Amino acid sequence: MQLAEIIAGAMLLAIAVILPTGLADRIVPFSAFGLGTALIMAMLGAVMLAHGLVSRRLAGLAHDQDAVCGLRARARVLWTLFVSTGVVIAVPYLTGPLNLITVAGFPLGYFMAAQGALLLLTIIAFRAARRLDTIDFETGVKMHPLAEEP
Amino acid sequence: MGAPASEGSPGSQPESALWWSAVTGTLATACLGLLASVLGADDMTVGRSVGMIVILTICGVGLAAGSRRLLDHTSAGYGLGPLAAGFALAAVPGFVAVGFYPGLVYFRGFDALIVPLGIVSGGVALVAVVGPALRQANVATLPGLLRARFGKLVGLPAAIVALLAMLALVCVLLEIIVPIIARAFDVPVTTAVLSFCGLMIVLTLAGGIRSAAWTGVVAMILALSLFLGTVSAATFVILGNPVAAIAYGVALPEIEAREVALIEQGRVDFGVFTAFQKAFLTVDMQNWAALALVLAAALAVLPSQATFLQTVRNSAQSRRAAAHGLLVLVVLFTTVPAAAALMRLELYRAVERAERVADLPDWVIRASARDGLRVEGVSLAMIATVAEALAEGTQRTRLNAALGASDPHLERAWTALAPEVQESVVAVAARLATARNSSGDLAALDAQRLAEAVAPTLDANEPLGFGSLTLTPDAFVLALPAAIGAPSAMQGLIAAVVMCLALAAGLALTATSGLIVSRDIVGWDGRASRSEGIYVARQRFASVAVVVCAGLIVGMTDLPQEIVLVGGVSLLAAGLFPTSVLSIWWPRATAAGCLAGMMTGLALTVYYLVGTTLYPVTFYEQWSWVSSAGAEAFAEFEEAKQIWMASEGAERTQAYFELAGRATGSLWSPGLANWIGIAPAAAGLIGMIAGCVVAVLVSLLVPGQRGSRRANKVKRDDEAGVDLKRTAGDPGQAATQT
Repeated sequence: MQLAEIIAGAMLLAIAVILPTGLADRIVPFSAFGLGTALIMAMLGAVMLAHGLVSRRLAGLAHDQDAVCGLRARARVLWTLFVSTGVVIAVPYLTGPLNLITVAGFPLGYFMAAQGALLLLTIIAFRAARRLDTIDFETGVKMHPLAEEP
Repeated sequence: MGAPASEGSPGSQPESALWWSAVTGTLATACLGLLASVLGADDMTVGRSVGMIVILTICGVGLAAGSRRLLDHTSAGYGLGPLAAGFALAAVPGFVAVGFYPGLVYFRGFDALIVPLGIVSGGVALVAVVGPALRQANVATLPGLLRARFGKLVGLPAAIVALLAMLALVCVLLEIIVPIIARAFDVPVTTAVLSFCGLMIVLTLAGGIRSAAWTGVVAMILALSLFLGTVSAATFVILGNPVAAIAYGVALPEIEAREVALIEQGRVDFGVFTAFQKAFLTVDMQNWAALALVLAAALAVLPSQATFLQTVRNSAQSRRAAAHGLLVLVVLFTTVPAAAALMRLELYRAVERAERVADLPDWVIRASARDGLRVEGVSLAMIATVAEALAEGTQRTRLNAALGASDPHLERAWTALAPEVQESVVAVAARLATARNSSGDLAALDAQRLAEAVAPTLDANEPLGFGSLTLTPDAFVLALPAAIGAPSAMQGLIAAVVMCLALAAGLALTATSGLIVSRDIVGWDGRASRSEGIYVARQRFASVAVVVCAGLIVGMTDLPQEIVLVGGVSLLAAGLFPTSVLSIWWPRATAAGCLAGMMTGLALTVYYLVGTTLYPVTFYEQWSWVSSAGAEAFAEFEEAKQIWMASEGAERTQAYFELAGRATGSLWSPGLANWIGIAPAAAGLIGMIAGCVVAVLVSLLVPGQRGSRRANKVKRDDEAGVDLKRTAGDPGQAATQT
């Protein structure tokens, strides 16, 4: 199952790399693929690949608690970066549709770019800080390789 | 264990005293400003005096934080605490939020929102990755972290990249703040550059990172109290709502309605007009996201930010500091754009009410007197400067030089004027110069004088258009208090707050640059035989050198501000981000991989930037297959190319310009010469992705280098005499050992 997830993620990533070059247009009869599609596919592929790799690694390290915690910390960091990148990419692409809705004078797309996304990112940052602190506190394992070494 | 860091360093003020002085200093200056406002101090001298007191307050705290200890100069004695570190960390982006962002929102509307999204997203990466890593590894700078893990091979290029990027940012900062100082305090540009650089040098010499950090704390308290207070007062006066973040939304429908009315009346110039709410007018959707990502990456690895995050006691505090800094920034970024919206609204109202220049409201005239607002390219400040020059006997042909000596922006505006307008301005100024009073002072300037000066360009039968009024971006913050009818004392106060933020940001950048030069470039041997004083002196000298270099570059060259900014940000994003994040996050990263990633990222970014902006024709010919332009555009390009090749002499030059014009876009929007539609300003994204891929591939393919990690660490431990593991959470011990 984990291997299938890794392969599917890698394939999605490869397709996302090929799409912007225009090669896909020669195979598929319609050219509906823009950079947005490629980015969404790349992000989906990256999540699947990362999840598959981490799960596989965790299964192999079940006996080594320190290594599992180190991996958990790294996975949390990756997830945080991924979500914040996703927010940055999604905001401009969703502005048009969201602007059809008005909330407290703000067109929603405008609000998301000006205030909403910033608040969302702050929540993500505080949440990540808390989770990473917990992992540090519970296990004493530091993520940085220099700090990990005896 | 050594003495607790929070008690401060021997011979220097303890942290609690600095907190108290920061808060009481801010409160005292706020009270002074309010008192001056209540007393109706409309004299600019009062405004300048209040402004000077604010600046002296921040300098006082910066000097009080001074110390001779090495640990204070490098890490603020590890005694900052998460809240103070968060405030200090927010100083550089805080300056962007207050000094640069409102003007950008005013001119670009929705498209300017790239800035807060990019910066806040970069802050998330600081919280999760970069900040805690430095503290855990117990190193002072980001290039130092790379050096500690991979040795000089990676650390030295990283330090050089970081230094160049920070020098570029200091230059941009000077370019932004100098005109504001010159206008607010009515001094020549040279004096403004010298005084600002002088303050930076004095404070850097006093305490290095510690002074920079505490200056940042005071500046952020000032920004949160005085600047946000002014914006709230403005929203209350104009819209009846003191909550600026909400008033922003309330202003939007009003702005839209007035824009529609002005367009229907034919009072906007579509050549320069951008609708405030309309998205993607200057940057397309894809480049909007790309620019935000580049900005995020650059902020995440901006060395000054990382350095402030290792001034706390442990990695948990470091994360908390980054999160606090982020929260402060979000408060600023969600509130400050309201000022831009209000200014748009007020200017629309002014144009609606005034049919003629002479009818313009008083605040427009006051803003024009400080060159904050120009009518048809002419401001009252320009008329006054020309009048003073004429009164001193300057000849008509040498007016350019006289304006340039006063303010280069004025000279540029003067050069852009049509000859008949220049003549008209000279005529008005000459009348003013001859009508001077006995003490040599010019008569008061009013709307009538402005109307006379711009008479040749305005049709007397046509109503005044919105396009005739230009707000100068660098003086935007000075015009805000005038727009709400606040007394001049408030203008001085606001200018001082912006200057304090600029000072804090400049100090953060230069102190960290000094740290990088003295530790990561010149080399840190940590020999016990050398006294701390030698290392402190070396760091001080390096910081001063950076300030002097930046001052000379700004004073003696005329580099385009936006190219320097894009260059600095791209260097950080493409050169440092992939390497730094992989070195922290991925244990398998190797020195060869990181070096290859860094070089690939930098080379690709420089190639793309130079290729698309300087050699667009050749670039498009080589890469037309990955350009976002379609086959039709390619056919048109080929046709233009045939015309160019067939023509001769002057026609050939003209044909080449047409060909190049097709291939070239702007910095923010690509022409034909592009890779998948990426704008030149977002070149850092290409370098970032390529650098990351290359670093991972080379690290996987060259596994032998991984063994060097431990060797480097051992070597470094031996050199510095610091046991990383033991001191990672124990600043006191680190202090004694260093």
